[in-house]
Amino acid sequence: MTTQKISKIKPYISIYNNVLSKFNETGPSFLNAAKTAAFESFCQNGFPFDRKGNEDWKYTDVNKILEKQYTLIEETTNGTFDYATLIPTDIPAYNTKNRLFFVNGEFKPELSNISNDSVVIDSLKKGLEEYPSIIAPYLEDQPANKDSFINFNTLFFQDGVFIYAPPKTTVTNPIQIINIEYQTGTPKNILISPRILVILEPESTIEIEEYCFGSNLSSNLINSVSKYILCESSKLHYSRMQDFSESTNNINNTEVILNKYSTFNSFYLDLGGNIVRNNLNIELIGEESSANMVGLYLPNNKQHVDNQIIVDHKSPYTYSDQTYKGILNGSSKSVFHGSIIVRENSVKVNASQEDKNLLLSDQSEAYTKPAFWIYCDDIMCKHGAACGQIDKESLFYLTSRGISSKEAKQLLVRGFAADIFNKLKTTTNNKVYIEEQVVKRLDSWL
Amino acid sequence: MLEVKDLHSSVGEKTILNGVNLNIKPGEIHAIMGPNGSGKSTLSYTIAGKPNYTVNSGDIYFENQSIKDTLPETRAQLGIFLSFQHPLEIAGVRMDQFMRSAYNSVQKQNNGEELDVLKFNKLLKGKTEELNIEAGLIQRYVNHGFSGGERKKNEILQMAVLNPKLMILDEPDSGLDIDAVRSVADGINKLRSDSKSTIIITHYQRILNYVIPDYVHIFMDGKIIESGDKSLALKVEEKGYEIFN
Repeated sequence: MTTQKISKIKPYISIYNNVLSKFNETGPSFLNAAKTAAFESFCQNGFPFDRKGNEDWKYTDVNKILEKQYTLIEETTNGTFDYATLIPTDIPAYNTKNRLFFVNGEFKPELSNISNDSVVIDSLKKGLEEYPSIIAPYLEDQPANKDSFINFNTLFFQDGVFIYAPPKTTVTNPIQIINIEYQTGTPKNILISPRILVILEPESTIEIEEYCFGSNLSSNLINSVSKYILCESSKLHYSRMQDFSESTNNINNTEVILNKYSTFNSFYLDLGGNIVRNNLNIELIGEESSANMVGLYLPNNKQHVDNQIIVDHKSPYTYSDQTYKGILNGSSKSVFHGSIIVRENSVKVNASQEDKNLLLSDQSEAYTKPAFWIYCDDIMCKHGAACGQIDKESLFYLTSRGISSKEAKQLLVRGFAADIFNKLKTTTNNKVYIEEQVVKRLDSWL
Repeated sequence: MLEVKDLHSSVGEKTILNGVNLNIKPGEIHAIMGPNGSGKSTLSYTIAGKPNYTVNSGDIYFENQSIKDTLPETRAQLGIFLSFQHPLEIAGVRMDQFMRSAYNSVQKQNNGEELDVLKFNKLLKGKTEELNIEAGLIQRYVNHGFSGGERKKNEILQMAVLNPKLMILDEPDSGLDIDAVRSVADGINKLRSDSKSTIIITHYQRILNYVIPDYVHIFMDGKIIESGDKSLALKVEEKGYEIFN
């Protein structure tokens, strides 16, 4: 490693050494073992600073993500401040109110509604205390040298979400995870490392809505790791709306394991953030499992959104579909790198991928790169990618009917995003809310 | 209602119209016939105000006001409607949304009542019934997956909703079978009145059997070279455009 690279990881090594004793005292031994393994790998490999020859980080500069020096915070406390006021009042509300609320990555039990009945919905810290034997296999199986940012999360995570659905259970209303950045005064550049673990036993079904909101003053690094384990015939609908501060960098590492007949439906909406990187790794290990991934990103100004998706078809008769769209304004950039792997003997796989971008300004840039690794003959794969601007002919058609150029553009741009909403498999409440946020954002640009 | 005076216009660098003169009074139907590439569509786009279609000299007056420097939406709000030869498909925009936006824009400009979704959909549905158009079309994206006939009928539907003073129909019959031509012609006839004017641009006189023009103009090389009554259309049908060369 060069000196520059070492200088970037050094501070984090010392932070880790400082908090190590705290981890050792409080955490279960398997957690400490996982952290130690991650530490060794981190010291050895550091961060993927090199862009040349590194396809995964070719268009997103890790140096920029780590430009600032991030630190851990002790605790976000602000006297009698009522954190409930930070939750937007218009987000969907359900009778069951299964809600987990985090401020700067810290769990706020007083504002959460946790459940320990049939389905466990709780903070990960609590989960580690009460259900260590369920959690252990999913922490220990992290191969030590996996991904730098996964290791980085393993080093520092202290809390997060733990959801466990026993066999044949169904949660009728969505479980909400609310992440809020809160900052007054000078930005502290906080390192936030949330960890989400969701386990769905056979034939269980749940829906998760995650909402992320930032404050203008925040300038953090949120490096999260999520793991979703879907056992036979289980179903997970996941929707995430990210609207962090435009100075916050956000990296999401998501791994989904799908067993036989299970279904994963995801939706990622990226509105906020400075540099945002979503790594979504889907492993279809059981026959007839299926994954539908939908994404919409609307970067503005100098925002940079990078979606890296790997779908690994490890079994026959598996299905996957990626539908991503971007609408770019200002001098923003987007990256879409979608890979589909079809293993030997994975016959009758049906996989498709699409990424379309609408550039609203001459300064915005969209990079889209499909990749296929096919080792089996009897399969069906398709992909499509496109980048373009508002179609002038369509614009004339609408204005020739009396619609102002501004309103015509709004109609066309909303129309571009329309099929994303048609593909959402979440509740009507969630869809309506998401659509409102998108329209608000788009209309403000035109 | 419409007066085109010695109009010269170009698309980009290319000059297409070379001195068009046309005077249309309320209630009149004018047919403009001409061979491919003679500039008929350019004339319709220039009147509708398509960007990139530049007026080099001459003028266009609508109800005695020059419109050559106005935006296309302004012209539509004043009451000019262009039925496209090739109506566009607009992904993700539903017919009812699109038409309500257009209707309310026109109403707003003319101090008329803007309609909410319920009231407007009632109006729109009424128009589909009047014109014998399948009501399901209004729930679909604009022209998305529409057949050629459906697209042309959809133009007539839009015209019926917006109720323009001047209807410019650019080849409303192209690509249609005889039944569809008749049905489009029926639609045009239903929308006619003594206070409205119509321009029909066409290659063939076929549609003029159903929509009887008051005047027929022969358009070649970017201008009108001969004008007459309906018999001129029959002459073209019989002998082709070559006789005008």
